[in-house]
Amino acid sequence: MAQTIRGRAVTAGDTTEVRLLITHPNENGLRKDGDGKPVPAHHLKQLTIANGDVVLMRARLSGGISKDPVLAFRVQGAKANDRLLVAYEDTKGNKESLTVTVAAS
Amino acid sequence: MFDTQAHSTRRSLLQASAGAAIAAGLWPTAVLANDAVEAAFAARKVDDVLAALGVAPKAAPPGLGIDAPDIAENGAVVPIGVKASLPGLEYVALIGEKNPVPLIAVLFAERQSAIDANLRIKMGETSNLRLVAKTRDGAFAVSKEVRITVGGCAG
Repeated sequence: MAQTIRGRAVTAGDTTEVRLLITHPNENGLRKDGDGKPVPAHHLKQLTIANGDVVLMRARLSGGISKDPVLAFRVQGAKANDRLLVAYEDTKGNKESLTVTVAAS
Repeated sequence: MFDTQAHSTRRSLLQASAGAAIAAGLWPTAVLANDAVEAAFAARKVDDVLAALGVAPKAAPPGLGIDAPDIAENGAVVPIGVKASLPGLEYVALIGEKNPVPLIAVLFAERQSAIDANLRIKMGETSNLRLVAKTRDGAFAVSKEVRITVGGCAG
């Protein structure tokens, strides 16, 4: 399956900015298609960023997030060359993850 | 060290599954067991969201902020910044007051002292956005009105 998460992480001082582009339809389940049939919900549900065993960021999302969203999180607890695991699960149970190496600014 | 080949195989299987368990521990679903938050996502009215979360937010002290445009041309993609730096922070909840599913996102502080994020959200019509922060000292909220010129329902 094609990688649907793209991201990078840059650290400056004690803060690391993780920027993500997640390719996802983020259907909220309320829209109707051209034939007037409802489009079933299919959106990001859980998103985490972890450094080893330490979870740096955890989010629970609804269909109110845009399609193919760009998301940015500024977190503490990472330094240059750390490898962060970004993982999501959507409402259909699809799981994807990406490892990003933290760059120095 | 191992008596038989069978033992060795079992050991490596156990090690493999332990590795998988650690990986699973990092996966979102394994760590999220917050019934109140799940109930809040099912709510369709702002008051029901707050009731499900069990919070009655007070006016926010400095340290809680929502950054949103005054006017958004495209309701399908509204850039939002959320910031919270409060003692005993547990989570922040972003609520679109007139969205069909008002609760847009809940960001958990985990062990961090602050939450600082940028999101892109959908808004169907002009309405207030509300950011509720839950801390060990109670809940606080700020809000910001965003005018929408093209609705986000088609997004």
